Amino acid sequence: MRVNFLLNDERYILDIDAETTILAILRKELGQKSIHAACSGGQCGSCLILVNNQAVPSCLMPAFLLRDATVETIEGLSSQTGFADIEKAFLKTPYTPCAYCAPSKVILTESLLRSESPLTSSSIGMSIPKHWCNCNQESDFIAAVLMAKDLRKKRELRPNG
Amino acid sequence: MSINKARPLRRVVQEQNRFLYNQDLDTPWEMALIRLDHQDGSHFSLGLPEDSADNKVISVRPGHKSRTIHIIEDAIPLFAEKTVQYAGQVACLAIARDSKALQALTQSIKIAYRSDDHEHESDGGLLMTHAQKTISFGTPNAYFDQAYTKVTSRLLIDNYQDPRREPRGALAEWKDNTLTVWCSSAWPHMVKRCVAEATGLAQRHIVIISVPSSYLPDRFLIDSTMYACYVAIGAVSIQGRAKLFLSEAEDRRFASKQSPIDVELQSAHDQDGKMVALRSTVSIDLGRYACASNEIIQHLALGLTSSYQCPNQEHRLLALATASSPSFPNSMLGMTLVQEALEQHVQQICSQLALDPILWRKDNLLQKGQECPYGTSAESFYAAHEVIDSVSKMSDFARKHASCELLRKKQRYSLHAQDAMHNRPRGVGLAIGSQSHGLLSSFELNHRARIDLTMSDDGHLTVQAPFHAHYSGLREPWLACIYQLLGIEERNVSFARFSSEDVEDSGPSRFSRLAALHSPLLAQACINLRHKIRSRVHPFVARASYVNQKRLTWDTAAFRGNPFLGRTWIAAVIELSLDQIDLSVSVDSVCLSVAGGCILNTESARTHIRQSVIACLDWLSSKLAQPNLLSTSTDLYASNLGHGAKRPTIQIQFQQPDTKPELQARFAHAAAIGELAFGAIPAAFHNALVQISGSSFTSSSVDSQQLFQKLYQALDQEPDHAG
Amino acid sequence: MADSRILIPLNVVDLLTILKKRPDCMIWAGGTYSQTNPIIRLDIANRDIISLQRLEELNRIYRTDRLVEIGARCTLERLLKLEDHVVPAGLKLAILSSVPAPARSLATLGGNVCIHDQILNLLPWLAIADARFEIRKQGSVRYCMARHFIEPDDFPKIDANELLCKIRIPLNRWNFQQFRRIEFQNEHQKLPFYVCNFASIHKETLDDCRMGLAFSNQKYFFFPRLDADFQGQRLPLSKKFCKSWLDRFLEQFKQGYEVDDPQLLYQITISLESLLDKLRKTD
Repeated sequence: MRVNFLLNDERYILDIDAETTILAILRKELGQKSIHAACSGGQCGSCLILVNNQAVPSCLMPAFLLRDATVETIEGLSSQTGFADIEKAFLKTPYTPCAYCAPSKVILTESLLRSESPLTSSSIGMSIPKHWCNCNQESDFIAAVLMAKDLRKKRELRPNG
Repeated sequence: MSINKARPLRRVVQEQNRFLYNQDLDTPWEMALIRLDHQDGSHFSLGLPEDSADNKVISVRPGHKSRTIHIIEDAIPLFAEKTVQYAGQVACLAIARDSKALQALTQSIKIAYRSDDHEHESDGGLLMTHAQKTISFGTPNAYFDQAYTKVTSRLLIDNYQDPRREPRGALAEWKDNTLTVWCSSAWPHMVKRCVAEATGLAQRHIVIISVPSSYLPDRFLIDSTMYACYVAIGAVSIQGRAKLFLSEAEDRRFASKQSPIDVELQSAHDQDGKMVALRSTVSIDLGRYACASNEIIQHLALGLTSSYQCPNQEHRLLALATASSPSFPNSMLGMTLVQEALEQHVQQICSQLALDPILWRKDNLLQKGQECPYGTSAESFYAAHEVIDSVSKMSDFARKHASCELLRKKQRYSLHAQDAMHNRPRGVGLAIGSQSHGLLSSFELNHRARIDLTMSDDGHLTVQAPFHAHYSGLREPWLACIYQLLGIEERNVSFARFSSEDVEDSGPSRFSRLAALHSPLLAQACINLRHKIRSRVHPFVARASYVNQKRLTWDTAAFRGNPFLGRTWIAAVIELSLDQIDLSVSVDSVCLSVAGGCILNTESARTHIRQSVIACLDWLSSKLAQPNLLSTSTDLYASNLGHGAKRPTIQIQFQQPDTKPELQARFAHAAAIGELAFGAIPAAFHNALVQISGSSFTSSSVDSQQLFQKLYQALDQEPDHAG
Repeated sequence: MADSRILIPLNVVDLLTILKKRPDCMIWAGGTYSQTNPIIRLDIANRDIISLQRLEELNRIYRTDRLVEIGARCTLERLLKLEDHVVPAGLKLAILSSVPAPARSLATLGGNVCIHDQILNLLPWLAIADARFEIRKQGSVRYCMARHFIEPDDFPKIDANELLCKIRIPLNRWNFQQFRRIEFQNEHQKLPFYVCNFASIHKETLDDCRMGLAFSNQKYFFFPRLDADFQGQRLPLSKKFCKSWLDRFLEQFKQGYEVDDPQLLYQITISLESLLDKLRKTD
């Protein structure tokens, strides 16, 4: 079947099989190497991408669900202005993710920042996968997300935005 | 001083994996993991083709059954895993012309068993003893005969794996009697050496090209040696090009693993509990090709002899080559593994002889000027006492230890929920670890370390080092040093890395041992450059290098001539508690004290140590019921929706000597903290587990069933739920 | 290219029509099970798929004073983000303890119930909370209690041409809920199990109380018919009462299922005991 979607502000029209996952398409066809296939079971979150502003594991999501969706990966996100908030927050707090998990952590942070529900340490904690990359502690991640939230709020309040 | 910290993250994101995907070699052979239908999932192993001229038939060195494998042309199995874990099937690494041939190979290999073949069972896939060494010091046998008490312990450490994945792949080409291997490694010389050992080629025929491709900040993998060996073997066996790119789903079988090790320790004690003789048998399984076995043996010996004083020692050390996939000690060439075993032995001594673990350690540590099998210990040894004192003070160890002991002795753990909820079994464990510059530099630096300074006519200084100063947190202290010695400001200094081909092994710079080794050289180079500038000797280029002698002794002239000078110490106290309901263990606190010299960048060191601690704890907990210790507690209702659950606090304290500021700038006693945590954390964790359960474990990977057996089955009764 | 087709109906009526004609189609809600189960994954290429992606009707949540009606396509992530008075806290606990975080944004409540897989398992909680499922097929609607939805060692009671549309959970019935997922693992098997305890407490008296046990990769729960024992008991419960209750529970359990692993038995006992202990001390 044919799917039409927006990946990092570029429109793609692809002919796909029913069993193809988004992960396979993004990695193999569209060169998004920041996404990693680790557990292939939605456990670890290494393959998180933003689909319609929500972080989803791309290893579990079939490509046919991409129809009319907006997909963002770290490759696109890193060129947006909002990325600076996350980057700054990661560098200012003790949170230093290893580069293997950094893309997925950035995606997770971005999805949390975009979500409408209030961001508290317990709500952030809930979104952390159980099989968490061992490069850092959860508490540091929570601190980093909270700081990113503040930074983004400040930036949005600034008149020149 | 501002640092553009934003760059690394973005750059790594952009650059990772470029190597593996963009390398364009024409039609290399594919190497891949194949799975063979297999019934009982027990031992199985393959050897290399015995006769390469006619490789249609491979005689298999059996795990416990002998068999012959008929294979087809264009596909060769290289070796298989000894213990089958992957989806209940034998996993075997093979090389084939294309995927079709590989498929044909998979189908053609059949495992036939002959049940009468019992003699092979005993050898367990053992090929040979690759290296061995016996160290004797004093007269241990005599002391064992007349000892007041003897303590024996044994520890088996499994081959565990770093759960963090690295890019998996390498390329190799055998052409014109030269083997070229492309891989991403921070240690190209180590790779070269291992490839030479694995393929049987001379080192001059091997070229290693290390390609930046890493998730780690300095873009080189720590240990991609195994992959490099695999492709090298593949390329040599087909006399052409080989490519290994393990698929994401199946790579874990052949990702590099920690070598399994078996350490047996026996100590003799006098009436005061002092250790008068120590005997050990250590065997480490390095897999099929037993890379760097001599170095590893040396480090095992060093680990066993350089912590505690003992006038009579005998150590028998074996490095074995077995028919399983190659493996390698994860840290410090195995030194941390024996340190772990030794620390657990100390715990056993203390509990068996009812001695205080702190006092015993302090009394029995090597003292200044004491003879040990590897030379005389010297001045900076006091640090070991300091770290023990500070960590016990920080964690209130003595009180906690006593109360945990009391709790355990008073009541064998109750089988009632009321008590289970309120009196969680607790344990606190202490361990020390150390690392030194001495021997390690001989291996990892490929006998030399180098810093180049180049000053252009307009006063711009370029610093060339084998690693990125940015990533190791060294930029700031190095800039400070340059400013102090040369007066050049930050804006006029740029850092560069030597080109990767045939450069000295850098090691990942986050392992600050190497950073620490290079820092005195920077100071030296600055002084050299200053002389040149003053006497106007053009060009303004200065180099400081350190050449280590090739033999395995401590030749540390550059570091004031003492093997123990660069020695760093760590003491760790870990507090654990056990959830009696789901038998999961949680880490309540981790206290660390680190000493050894002046830490160049405390923040960076702290972050690094913390990461190593988390990694260690993650490995240790992988077999316990709770898959990730540091993640959410399963005791959901105990907290608000399961989160905000108690996380272990990791406290780190650095013991730094009071060095004068000008000396500090020259990094007189730069500390190396690289793999310290790996030495002390596993032992402290196990010592705490031992305190919980009341008896020691012989294996490093403790699971919930073992815990249950130790805790409750000893009662020899049905779980009684009477209130 | 595989010859499977993906059908994306826009309303439930269309979907039921398709299902009637083509009961062999695979219904795709979140896909977390289908993607992780290798056998079903192979099947995807050969079967037509009905995606519930556009069915807004199944994505709605209604709340009245007495019950909450959750559309089967609601993702677990969404349920977690809703307030406690809409989605019971106990259900959130169950989600948090049984479904991995990344998968929650795809996994749906209906899918979870129908699959009854070992990773995603909310059925024990729903069963003990007296949830009812609205199951529709073309021309008819039926309601099924969650605790009757799966027979021991049987598949869910849902036909190929039927669709689970809504899950109705009574509210305000239980004012005390406990749920715990416990890992049991020995060298032979890994068998997580769930213990739940629901109670309705008024003026320090137990109006109603229910306790249950469910094993996640075996399709059975164990709810002994001992609820009546609790009714009218004053809190705090006496130790003697708890002991005798637990004895009877375990007796029934041992009669029904042959469990001889001492570790498992111990873990079951002590976990139930800890729930009772919490209940005992509640006032």
